[in-house]
Amino acid sequence: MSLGSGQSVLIVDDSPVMRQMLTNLFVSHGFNVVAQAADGEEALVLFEKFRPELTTLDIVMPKMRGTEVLEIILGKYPESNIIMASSVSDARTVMHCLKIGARQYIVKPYDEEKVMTAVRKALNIA
Amino acid sequence: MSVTDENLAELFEQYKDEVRETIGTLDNELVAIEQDPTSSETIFSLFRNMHSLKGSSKMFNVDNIANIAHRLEDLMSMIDKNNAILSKHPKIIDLLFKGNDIFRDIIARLEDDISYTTMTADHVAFVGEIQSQIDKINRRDSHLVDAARKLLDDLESLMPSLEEIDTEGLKKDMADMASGLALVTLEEEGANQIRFNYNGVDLTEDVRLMDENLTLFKDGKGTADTAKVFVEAANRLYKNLAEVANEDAMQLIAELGDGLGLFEEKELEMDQMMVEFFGSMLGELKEKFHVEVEAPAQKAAGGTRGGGGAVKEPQVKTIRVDEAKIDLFLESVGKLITKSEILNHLQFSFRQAGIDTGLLRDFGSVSRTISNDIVNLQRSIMEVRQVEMNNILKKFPRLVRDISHKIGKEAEMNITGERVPIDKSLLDDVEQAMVHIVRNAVDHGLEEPAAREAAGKPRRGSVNIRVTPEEAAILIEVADDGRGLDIEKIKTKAVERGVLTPEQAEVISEKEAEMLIFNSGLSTKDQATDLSGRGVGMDVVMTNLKKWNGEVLINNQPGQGLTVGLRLPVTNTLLTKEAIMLRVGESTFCLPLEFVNEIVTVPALAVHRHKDGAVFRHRDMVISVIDLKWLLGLPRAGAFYEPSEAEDLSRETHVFIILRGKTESRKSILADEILGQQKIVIKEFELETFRKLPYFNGLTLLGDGRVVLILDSDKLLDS
Repeated sequence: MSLGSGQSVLIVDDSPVMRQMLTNLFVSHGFNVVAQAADGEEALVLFEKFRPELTTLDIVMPKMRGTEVLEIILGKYPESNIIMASSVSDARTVMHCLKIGARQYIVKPYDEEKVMTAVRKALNIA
Repeated sequence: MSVTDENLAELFEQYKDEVRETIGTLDNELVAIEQDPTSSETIFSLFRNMHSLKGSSKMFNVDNIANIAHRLEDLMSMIDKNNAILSKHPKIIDLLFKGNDIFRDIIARLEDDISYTTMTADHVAFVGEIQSQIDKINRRDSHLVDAARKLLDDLESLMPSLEEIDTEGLKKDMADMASGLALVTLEEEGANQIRFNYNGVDLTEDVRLMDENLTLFKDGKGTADTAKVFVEAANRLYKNLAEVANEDAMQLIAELGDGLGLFEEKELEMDQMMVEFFGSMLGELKEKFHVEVEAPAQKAAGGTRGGGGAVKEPQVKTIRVDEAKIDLFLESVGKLITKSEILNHLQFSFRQAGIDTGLLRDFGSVSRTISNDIVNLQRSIMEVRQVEMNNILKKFPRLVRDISHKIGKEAEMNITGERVPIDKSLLDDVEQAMVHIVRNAVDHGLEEPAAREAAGKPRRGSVNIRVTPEEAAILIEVADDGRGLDIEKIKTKAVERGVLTPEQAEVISEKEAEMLIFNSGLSTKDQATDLSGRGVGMDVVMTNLKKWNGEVLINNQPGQGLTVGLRLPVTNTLLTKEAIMLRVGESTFCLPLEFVNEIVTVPALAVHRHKDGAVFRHRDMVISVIDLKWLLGLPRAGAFYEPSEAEDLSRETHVFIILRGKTESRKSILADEILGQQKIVIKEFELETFRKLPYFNGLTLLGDGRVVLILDSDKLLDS
């Protein structure tokens, strides 16, 4: 039984190949990836448009940093499910994001199990 | 990842395209940054591209690119936080170009060899190069240097408004200061090796536990148990620090607390990210609180011990610092002190030039901060140099036993004050002096057992060493209960040996006669029976003690015993001294405050001239006058005992500096003017020729760049 049941997902990452890998992964677990954003500003626009049930958010991106995107989204929609997707060297920023309301984090390089564990915890799926 | 091989191969092609694209972007950005090294936009973009490169390369296990990009990302992140770094270290751009070339090479090779993903020797060497660049930046960015460098930048911006006045001198001062700052790089090397606890809370144990367990996770050996021990230790540390930490550290402590809270609340795991997070917290905490723990390798395997209930023995915190390093460091600090005097001088120049008062106030406060920092630095490093007296005292019981056995006497030795600290540089000289004094006490002071009994004393004589710390000195006394000094016998012997003429023997005071025991001409017997194996004569010992401004005190109780004391000023071991600046004629001299007993103003009429000089009375003492103009052959206009000179006629009073003498008779220096008091750094003469200069023992550099000679009080007193 797959973890997802068609929930909408927005993938935010400045690297196309990263976006593709995450998309593949979510799709294979039964999620519906509704959009991909390549920078912070695009992420805000697409979030407003789709109001996804789950968002994976990169931190270091052009135009607007993930931290800022997170603050804006949570300021408007505090219940949003956002998972920070970043790399080990951002550890302290990631912890800061968790503090202000991100649900979980996943770390590059992704490990399927780790991603799905984080998703399970974020969506409160038993 | 649940993707098919075909899928993966396709993604890998995408990855390589992406890297090629990034390399192209990086090239353009590097060219741009070379034009404008302060563009924060370009800097951030460089950082971001390195970051992406690292991320995706890790994803595809292209370790070589991932590792190199990781280190370059660290470097860029430092620059992102402080744009000025790139201008100061232009070589970084070469390094980044080189990195880009390496990436390009790796991607090209990957076309033919899909396994070309591991680090080659060249790659490792390049990562080393990046690391040393990072180290260099870190070293340069210590707090003090930052403050001073900022000051220099500020000064630089002032320059245009100073065109009116002579800026050449200022420019030179600033260049001097900049070169002085380069010396501070030693700071960390010294400081890192000192470990101590913070406000009485011993952080070492918990930090060690955290370190050990974190290392286990890094090595992939962590368990649930390890995580538990780690979190417990981290929580203890957090609580301890939250109680004692100052505001400066509070943010860091709060961050640690938040992290620990989130770790539990969100059921996080000790993955790479958390290891990185706690690792970086720990690193900063250690730095902030100067905690240093032993390398985990030295500990027994397995970090999962300790736990909450473990009893902690208070650890003796030892330091091991290369002495040469400390000396070098002290020398740098000395130079810095001179530089900070330059700042004072600059402030004065600015005020005269009518600089905006707000700016002047800022300048003054930064300048004061730097000056305080430097003094604190010096003080703490001086403390590091101190060792306990026990280092030399422990040898004496054996020495006394050996001497007394050899010459058929019975002696016991008592020592008090073993733990009194003494500057390490004094140790050798003090030890040599003490060996002489103690040997004299047993050899000459103590009587034969039979004679002692006849005199109603215990058969066994005693020699006691007592070390007492005084406010600004350390007093070392060697007391025996022997026969004491026979002044007449000493005088007779001195005349026999030709040390004194019979006439001199008639007139010398008792104190002067006592001091004869340190005259090498009278202590030949000591050298013949040298028991310690050291061939240093007493006269050499005395010269060495004088070098430290040591004072010898003799308390002679004929028949009851003799006490010889050595008083060594503690301040003397410091490089810097407070000194008064005085003007004599056209010349400025400097006299360390420790030589000054009193400064008095005396009516011209109260000075009595006679054929060899002049004297005046002060507090029932006759004080003789040292006339520097005559002594040093300075131009003599206005010399005070030539009342025919016009200048002198107008004078009604004279200023005299009464020297702190070691003899009964007081002497004073006549000064035309006391210019002030300031901190000076004594620089010994390097050239032998200069060392032979009479009446001076070194020179110092004033804030305005002038060189001033330092008067040698001892030689003046002997004049």
